[in-house]
Amino acid sequence: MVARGGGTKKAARGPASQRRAARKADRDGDIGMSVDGGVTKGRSNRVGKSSGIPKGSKASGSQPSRISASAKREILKHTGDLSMRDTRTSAPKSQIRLRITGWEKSKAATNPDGGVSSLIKWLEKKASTKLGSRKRTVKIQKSQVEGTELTINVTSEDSRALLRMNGYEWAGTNITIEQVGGPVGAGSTSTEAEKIKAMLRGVLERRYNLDDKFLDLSGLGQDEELKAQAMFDKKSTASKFFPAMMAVLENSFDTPAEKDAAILSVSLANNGLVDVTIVTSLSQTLPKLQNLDLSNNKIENLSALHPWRRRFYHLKHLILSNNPIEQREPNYPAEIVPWYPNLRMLNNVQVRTEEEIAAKSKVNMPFPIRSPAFQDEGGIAENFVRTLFAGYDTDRAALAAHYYDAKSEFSYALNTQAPRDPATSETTEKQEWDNYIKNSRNLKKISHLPARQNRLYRGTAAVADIFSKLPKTRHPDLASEARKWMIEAHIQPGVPDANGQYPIGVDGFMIVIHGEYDELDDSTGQAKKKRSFDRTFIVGPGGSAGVRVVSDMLNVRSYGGAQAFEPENIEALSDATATQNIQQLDAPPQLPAGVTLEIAEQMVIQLAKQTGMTLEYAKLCLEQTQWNYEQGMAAFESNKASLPPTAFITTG
Amino acid sequence: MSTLTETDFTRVSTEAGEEFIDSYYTALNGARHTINSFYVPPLAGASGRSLPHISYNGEIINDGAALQQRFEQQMPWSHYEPQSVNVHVMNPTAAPPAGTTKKDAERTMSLIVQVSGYVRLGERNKGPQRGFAESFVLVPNREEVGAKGTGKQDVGRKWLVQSQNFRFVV
Repeated sequence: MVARGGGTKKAARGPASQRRAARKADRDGDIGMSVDGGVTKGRSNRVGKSSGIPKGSKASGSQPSRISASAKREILKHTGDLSMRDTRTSAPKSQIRLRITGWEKSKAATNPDGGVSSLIKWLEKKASTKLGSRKRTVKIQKSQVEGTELTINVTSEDSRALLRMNGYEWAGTNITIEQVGGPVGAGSTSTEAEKIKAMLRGVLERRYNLDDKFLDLSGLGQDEELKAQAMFDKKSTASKFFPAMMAVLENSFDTPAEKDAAILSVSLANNGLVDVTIVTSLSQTLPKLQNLDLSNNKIENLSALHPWRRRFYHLKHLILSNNPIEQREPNYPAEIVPWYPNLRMLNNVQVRTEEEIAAKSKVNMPFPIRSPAFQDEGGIAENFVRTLFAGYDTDRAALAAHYYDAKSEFSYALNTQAPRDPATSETTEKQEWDNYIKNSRNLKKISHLPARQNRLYRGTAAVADIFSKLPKTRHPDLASEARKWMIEAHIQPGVPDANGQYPIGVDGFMIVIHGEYDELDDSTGQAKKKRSFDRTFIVGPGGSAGVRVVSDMLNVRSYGGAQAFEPENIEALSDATATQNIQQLDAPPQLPAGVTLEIAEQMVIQLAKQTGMTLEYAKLCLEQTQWNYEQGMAAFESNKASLPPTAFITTG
Repeated sequence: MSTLTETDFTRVSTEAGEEFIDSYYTALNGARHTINSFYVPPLAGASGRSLPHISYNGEIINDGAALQQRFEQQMPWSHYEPQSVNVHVMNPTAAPPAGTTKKDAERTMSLIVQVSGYVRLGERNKGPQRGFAESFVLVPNREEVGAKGTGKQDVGRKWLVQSQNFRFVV
């Protein structure tokens, strides 16, 4: 609990240097595509106007989630399409011979070998993939030159990638790649949509720099390959092009984590963007982007960037230089910096220091986050929590019979608007809360008295019934995943007496738990959604279990993460010595079953507080009484006189 | 036995809870000098039984005045927004003495209030926002709970905080 946090953060490399390096690498690697000089001169380098996309194009829409989905549908609607990730796995590993012609007139023809070795190198590099979860290095195993024909032997897997390069430009000349004999290659049988996917995949691949984790999407209007496909000639294709490319990018990765790790920086410079409508899907595909270059566009004001307000939570560096906004709204930095809480650099100028970021994320509040205040007696509350969540996940009917009697009450409330975990960008689905909303007793929403009454469940049967209607759950393990839980308890007076002997009530516990669970699919049992919850129990003595639930209130909300439970560094506080000493407890003491390390810590602190002993002596005392708090207290009382002065915390 | 019906319990508890939530968060946001008036008077008790029991992000405070002072002197601008509220009766104290009026019977129960919401800190709109969850046990403002009571004119707060547990959860 204590020696947590403070992980070293690696200073991020300046995105500017990354970009420079990336551009260089791109030039080196891409002989074919960079020989575009005269051809593009006449064209303006815009994705925007020149390609006929109206400002604020309706086609791409302003609602990001819809774009991405529709784009994916657009791409995938051709049934029978193989998805990008399937094309490779099914192929047998036989050798294929490919004939390559048209290279003899290249700029490299004057090389001693007529340019063959550099051609082979280029082919290998070009056909290899570095972007995506299925990275692959193409290896040309055998090659043979006969006159103007180069014949190479590759695996059938690699042959597809190479055949796709048929007609590519290499060193100033177009080369032809075809299969020698046998059936015609896979490339020729692919559908139109598959070709487009492959083409977009190629564009992304070519513009990706693995070392810098940088995806250069600048000057897309100038891209020879995209121009060849007439991507920007029609309004319909132009507005779909970017979302389609993002969909292809997403499909290249197996998991969002892999994708987020592979691409930290993106440049959209030189695209003639007047706003971000057409490229807005970038924020869904790469929500964890750290560096974004929007320089040399036509962005005039902040409202043009509005769709990306509150997106890119992790953004560290943003470049907006050479946009009209610099003249039109010279004070825009003051506005835009607060949009991105982790932004350090704007246009290569520091706007926040690491210290400021760290200070800001910790809310400046007089109540720093402390470890849980868990006051228990004889492990009653501890055992209750343990049994309850085990039962709730596995057998709710049995749980209801165990802890809930005729007077026990349960109800739950739904908070659909609760803040979400800022670190994840989980999207909300339609009917997201259908399983909960019908019986939710959120009094902010349910104002009619009969509804309020109907949604309160009393008695074993009613509780078991409503339990059975709530989605199946799996909570994290209480011991091994303790950091996902925040469990607090204290003695609560005035709890109703089950026997009715004391009308004003008896002592029980108020137990407050915050945590998360996986919502399980009813039929498959697979986890399908993460939720966060808050649960407040009042428990009292009685019943067959010795403990009965008086009241159980559940609040369900969107997943909020567990970072809020991490105790802050509280050295500056008065009990600095206490935190220091707790660290000595880190070597786990021998604990009896039912007592976690956290509970042990709480007991030690509590005993030390109550007796004035040091934490070490409090710990010793509890160890000798097998972690029974009351016995520990008794042991202290009877041995108080014989304890050395060093056993007590000295004041002053 | 009780002069109250099930419906009465639901009506009294939910209305009292809502009224409490409204005035309590209004006080945290803008009338911090009144915070103490929401709490039962301090009552020292053996190990961890002192009242009120206020647990704020893990820190135990046993005095409404101390909490008020903390808010008045150290707490930055804040806006608490409860988004979800739920209320149960904790102890209906089912047997009011004979001759108790219905109005008095309505004030013999204790309540549990659960809140989920967000708090904006520091400044309006731009300050950091945190999710919070909070639970209260409310008891009627009566001499029996050690409070002053609402007196003959029935003035002052009708319900007081006996236990409170606050946590940032996002």
